[in-house]
Amino acid sequence: MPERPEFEDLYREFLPRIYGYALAQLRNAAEAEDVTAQVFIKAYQAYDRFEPRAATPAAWLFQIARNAILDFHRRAGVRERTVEAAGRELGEGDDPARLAEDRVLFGDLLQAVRRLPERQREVIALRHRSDLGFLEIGRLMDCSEDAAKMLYHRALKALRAELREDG
Amino acid sequence: MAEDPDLERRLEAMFASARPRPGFDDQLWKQLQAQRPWPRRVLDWLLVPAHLAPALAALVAVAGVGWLATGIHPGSGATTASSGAAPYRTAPGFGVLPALKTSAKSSVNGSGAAFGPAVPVPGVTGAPDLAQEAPSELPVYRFDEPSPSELAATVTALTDRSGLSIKVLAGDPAAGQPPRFQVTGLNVPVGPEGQVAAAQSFLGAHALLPTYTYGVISSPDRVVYNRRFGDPAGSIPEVGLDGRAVGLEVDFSGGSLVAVTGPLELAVANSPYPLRAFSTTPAAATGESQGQAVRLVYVLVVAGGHGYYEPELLVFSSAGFEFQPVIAPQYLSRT
Repeated sequence: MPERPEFEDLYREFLPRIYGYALAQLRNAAEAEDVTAQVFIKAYQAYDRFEPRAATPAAWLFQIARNAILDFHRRAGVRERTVEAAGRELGEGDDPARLAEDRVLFGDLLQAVRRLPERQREVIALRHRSDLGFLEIGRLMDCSEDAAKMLYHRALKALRAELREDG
Repeated sequence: MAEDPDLERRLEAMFASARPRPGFDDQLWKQLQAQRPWPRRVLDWLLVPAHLAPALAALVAVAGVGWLATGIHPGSGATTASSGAAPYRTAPGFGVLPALKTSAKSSVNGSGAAFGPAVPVPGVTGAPDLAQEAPSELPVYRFDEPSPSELAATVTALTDRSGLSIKVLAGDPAAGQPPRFQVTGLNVPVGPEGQVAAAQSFLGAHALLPTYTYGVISSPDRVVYNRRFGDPAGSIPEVGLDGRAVGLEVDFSGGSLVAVTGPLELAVANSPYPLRAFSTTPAAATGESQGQAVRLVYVLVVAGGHGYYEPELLVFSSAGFEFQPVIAPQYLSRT
């Protein structure tokens, strides 16, 4: 029977992975840190209810992270619609300063990932940060294992195309 | 399902190097700990793990002896010297440091002072509160510039080790370049595993892989082994005066690996330096707080026969970027 690990062990192991997952799907490091903090606050509060027999720690944490990102997008949508209604200029996500900062650290790859459709960038981030197999990725993304594989295949193809355009 | 190994390796490298800013993990952990109800915290404090009990007992005993021996008791008005926050009486290990001079965008507030403006807090959502989160000190790393005879000896050693024809380039203080080695005229075809794998394989085969902590950054024609400083994981990148990540570079052209250029790995000493006070009033400090992004980096400053890797803030704005010092101003040269 799997034992429940110490929360601090989970925290130290998964913090950079959850952050990377969020970074690929949000507009900048500050947003990724916001979401990462929310994920671990929620996880910490719910850890007594975490049942290791029902899910691996990775699946459990990435499910929380997925919900947090969806929630973040919902809140951001409301905020931007409000700003738009006030007649202000949008486009914070395209701030050249932030784009330049990311390029320093990651080249153009991160921006190319961020330009992918939502589910494609999510499957890439899950595949490369969660250590979950396609079966578990499919469960997280509400699709079958084969559909998750296909989604990943298409995401790589789209990413190659994005990078060719950059090049 | 390795259908595009090169692209997947690039993704792996990118995600592996994606980390929150230094200190974020500890700060969030403290925040989580603070959320626990106080009875639980008291309980945790009382329930000292058994394996720590002897150490705790020894600590209590030493503290007790020290308390008796020093005569420093509560209420005596004395302060302890073990807080780690004792002020420096003299400049730290390397003395007063040469300040970075750059032709990048001038100071945001136009002061042009050698020390630059107070370090601003970027006015972006969720930006770090540097006043609370920045460490009180960071190490500066220093190497001695090699003499011509040492450079010649390095060429011989590198050539013997790698089996390649190596050229050594002297450091260029104005460009912030350390002494480097270079291998050109290569024509190594990139295999199906892609250029990151090709770079890794070539450098490994010729004993040229960096021994410093690095993150791999890949672009269509170059793989950079970006030097990283900071904690053991190396979370603070080195950047050049152009603001780009620097380190050992492997160049590609026409589907082949064609050149390698990298810093000579010279013996490096380090010494901690206190950081400047951080302003929390960006508007006052810079007159411009919106749309900025800030990244803690290391930059090489070459002066006086030494190369110094100094921490700097790389501040991006829509107008460009600039470096701002983080070392306390009294330890930076005014010239």
